[in-house]
Amino acid sequence: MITPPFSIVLSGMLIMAYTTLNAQNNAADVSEEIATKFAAPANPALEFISASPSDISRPSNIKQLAAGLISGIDGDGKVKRGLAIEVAPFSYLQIKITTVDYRTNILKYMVYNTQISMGTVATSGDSKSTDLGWGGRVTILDKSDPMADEEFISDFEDTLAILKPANPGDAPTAAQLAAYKVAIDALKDKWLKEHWNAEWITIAYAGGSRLGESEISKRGNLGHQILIAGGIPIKEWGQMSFLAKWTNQQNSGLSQKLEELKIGQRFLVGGKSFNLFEEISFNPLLNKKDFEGNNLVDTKKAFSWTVGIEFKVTDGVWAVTGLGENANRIVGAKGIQVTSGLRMGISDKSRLSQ
Amino acid sequence: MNDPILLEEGTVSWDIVLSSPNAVSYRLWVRQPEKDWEIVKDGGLSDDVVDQGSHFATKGTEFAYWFGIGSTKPNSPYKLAVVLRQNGNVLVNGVLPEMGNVDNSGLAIKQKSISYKL
Repeated sequence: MITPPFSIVLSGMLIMAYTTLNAQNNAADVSEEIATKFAAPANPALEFISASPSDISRPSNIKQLAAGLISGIDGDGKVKRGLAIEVAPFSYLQIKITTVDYRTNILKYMVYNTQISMGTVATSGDSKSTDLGWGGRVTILDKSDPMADEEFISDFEDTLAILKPANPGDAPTAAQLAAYKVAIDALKDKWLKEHWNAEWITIAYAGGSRLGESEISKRGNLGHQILIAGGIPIKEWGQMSFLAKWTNQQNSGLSQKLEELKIGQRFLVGGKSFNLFEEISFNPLLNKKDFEGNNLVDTKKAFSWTVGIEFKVTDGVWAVTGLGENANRIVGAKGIQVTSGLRMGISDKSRLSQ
Repeated sequence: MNDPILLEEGTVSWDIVLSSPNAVSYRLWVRQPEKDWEIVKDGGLSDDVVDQGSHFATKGTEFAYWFGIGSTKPNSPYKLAVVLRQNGNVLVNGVLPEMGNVDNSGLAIKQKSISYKL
């Protein structure tokens, strides 16, 4: 429990952090620059090619998927930029996963929680080329997933009943929608309070190609990335997260790929709306020999650290402020930095749609 | 979507099959020709038991459903279907599938009404 004076100090820091955020359009990027991400990316393909499209297409059947892919090619046969597709293979499989299966059958749990993604973005510094990314993620375990809890599902069902219309075809009234929102938020909040730090494991893969003149026939390899991330609870007040990531990726400022390993640990103390955290990661360059004599690359830096605090600003959005040093590979990058930014969910991990 | 075709005037049985891990609340109605809508069943599907029941139907009888489908995972997929039978046989156009993704808030509302043909 946070005592009132400390809470006031923290609130002040939050306001400072949030003000800084509003003053800097790229503030969220700043925090990402320093802090190791202790979660599988929400969309591995888009993250791999550093794309942030305004709209992501989520086709739920083959026809929609085919239409989405066809629309990604222009009249000259070139790949369009800004394409972003995310699909759940479960939608395309003739497979039944009941609520009981979901909480008792790990294979079916993984199938339902598998996501495949694809996206395109204009190549940095090249007006004609396009970077194409693809990837996927699978949640192996997530004890904080309320959809795997029988009691939660039953309560959720009762909450949905608020929206029932009196007559066929009637839309929910404003009063029904308002009552539903209050009830579902309370239900999720109660769950999150009790399970915010529960154990979880996710694996992800991403790869990419650079398409010269945006043509598929002129593709070059951008690299690959494999990641496993997870967390375990420490009683009801903390969480220990881990991350292991192998990356072999083209850096936009270099002619050769950087092959790196990242092994990290993150320790959180707090609760569902406030955390103190520390992060340490070991980030060796695996292909040092390729950069011998290259003054642009620091082959020795291998440790990153960050300490800070994060607050829930609003549902699903966290403000982060702290101090840290990244194992910057490119010579000339900053050393120790003060950071502030926004994260979506605890450890970038949005468990609840709130 | 074409309307279901009755084998005969008489009892139609309905099943609701949920094939995804979602919270679902539902309401079903029937309206006989020249009558008002009547609620046939209010329920939920979280218990993993196929919900079923029956109603009388003749040509022009209308059947309607409302589903509130929920998930805590934004944009996640759902699959369910209403199956209409007579004498154990699925009616022509008697499978009413509902498939898609919940929205960014984790909610999908699906409703439809059909009119039996004979």
